[in-house]
Amino acid sequence: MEVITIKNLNKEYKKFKLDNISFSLSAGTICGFIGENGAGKSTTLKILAGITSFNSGMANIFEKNIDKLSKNDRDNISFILDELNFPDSIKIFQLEKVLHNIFLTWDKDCFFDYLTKFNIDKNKRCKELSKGMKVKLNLAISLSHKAKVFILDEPTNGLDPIARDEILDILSSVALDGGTVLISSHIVEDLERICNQIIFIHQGRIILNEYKKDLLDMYDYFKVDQETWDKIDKSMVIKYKDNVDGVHEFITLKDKLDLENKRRANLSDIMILIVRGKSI
Amino acid sequence: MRGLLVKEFYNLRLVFVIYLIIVIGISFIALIDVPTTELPPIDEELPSIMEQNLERLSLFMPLIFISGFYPGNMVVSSFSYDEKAHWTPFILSVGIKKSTILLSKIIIHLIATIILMIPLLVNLFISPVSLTLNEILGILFTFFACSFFSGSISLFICSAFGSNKAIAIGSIISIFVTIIPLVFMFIPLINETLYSNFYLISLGSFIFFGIIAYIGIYFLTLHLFKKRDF
Repeated sequence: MEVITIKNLNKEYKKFKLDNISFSLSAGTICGFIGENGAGKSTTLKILAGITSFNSGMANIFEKNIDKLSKNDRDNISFILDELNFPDSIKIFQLEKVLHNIFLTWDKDCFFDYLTKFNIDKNKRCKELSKGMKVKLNLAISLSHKAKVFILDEPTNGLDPIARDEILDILSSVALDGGTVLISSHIVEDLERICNQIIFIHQGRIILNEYKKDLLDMYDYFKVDQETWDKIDKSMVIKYKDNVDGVHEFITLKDKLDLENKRRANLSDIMILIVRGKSI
Repeated sequence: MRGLLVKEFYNLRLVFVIYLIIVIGISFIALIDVPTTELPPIDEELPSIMEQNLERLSLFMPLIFISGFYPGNMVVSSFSYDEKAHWTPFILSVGIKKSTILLSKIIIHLIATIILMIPLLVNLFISPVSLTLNEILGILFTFFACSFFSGSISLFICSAFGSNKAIAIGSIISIFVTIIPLVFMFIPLINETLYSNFYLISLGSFIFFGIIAYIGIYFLTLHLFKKRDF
């Protein structure tokens, strides 16, 4: 069953537009949504969260148009930004009283259990939490209203590696329990670690939508000096980049070129060369 | 709705307590400012009885306008806190409708209006200045009108343009609004026969237009708020 389906989605701003975005995610998927700043990641996620309107196309969650989702359906979706969406001065136990009256599926005991599990003091004010704690609190809230779809907009932004690792573990366990996660991030190493699907958006268009294992098995990456670069068969090169130090970086389809320093292209290589690289 | 109101309670209670203390303070000043032992007798030689009465009523003007405009400020504060906390995107993502968000702001405004009216009411009834029923009603009408105007303007500007612009525009508007009591104080000087019913008639129409503006602006605001992306 497809949990999230987007088809020919268009959203036009004065200086930017989402251009015919289409993709779908099934249950249990962790999908990494990557792209440079201003590529359209946040706009797409906000449309799915029901915060931003769109001009044309279709956006469905649980096979229902997002405009027609019931309150119960909405409670099954969690939208998490890289910051807390709650007043700074409110204490966490007070926040529980607010959320208790907002979510139909709220489980108070479950919330306090997660607070204990994540080492969050319920007497602290939101502004007193560290960045990592804020993300964990967001996740505790999402898990306490029994969300099944997690839409996260750069949740690991600015976190230290240990906090990031903890967050990624939580998200992995969510997917193992059948949840669906759509996560945007600039830290592609994180996505490479937990995602099983990767969507790459560039200038409002989706240019890659692959399963991670297929994508990482698709390209070879090379970094060569000028002499080697002059000798190779350029027809094999998909994208290349000339660095200022005279070194050339490029990707080819897997096993199309045999050089000593060949390695599998990772997500970061693919992203940089597709966005900044040139075609032969 | 209940969740939104609980959030407003935790978020705004400090601001509200500060407003309430200020209003009670002004209310106290209005009380002690009156010479309680010797109220000046109506003197036929003074310019007019009406002017003397207006002088007495002017004691209540700061209280009326401050307590009347604070409920509007509560709406601005509420929007301002929401923007700072990015609360609105969250609340929209959990399926709360924009009309419910606006309605919660209106409820906050009405609650603030009712609570802030209490010091004014107390002041009107225990003040040594004896007021006629028409004058009491006129003062209350002015208070409600101020509250409705400030509430509707705040709601409209905050929803459509954000709280920062509301604070800037609100400051400019408040300068013009302060002219209103002056106008109301001078109109009866032009036509003395209207005086006895002046507060009831003219301020009654003031509150009438205040309510119309309140309702009208709610629908206009809702229309604009629905179009706004977060």
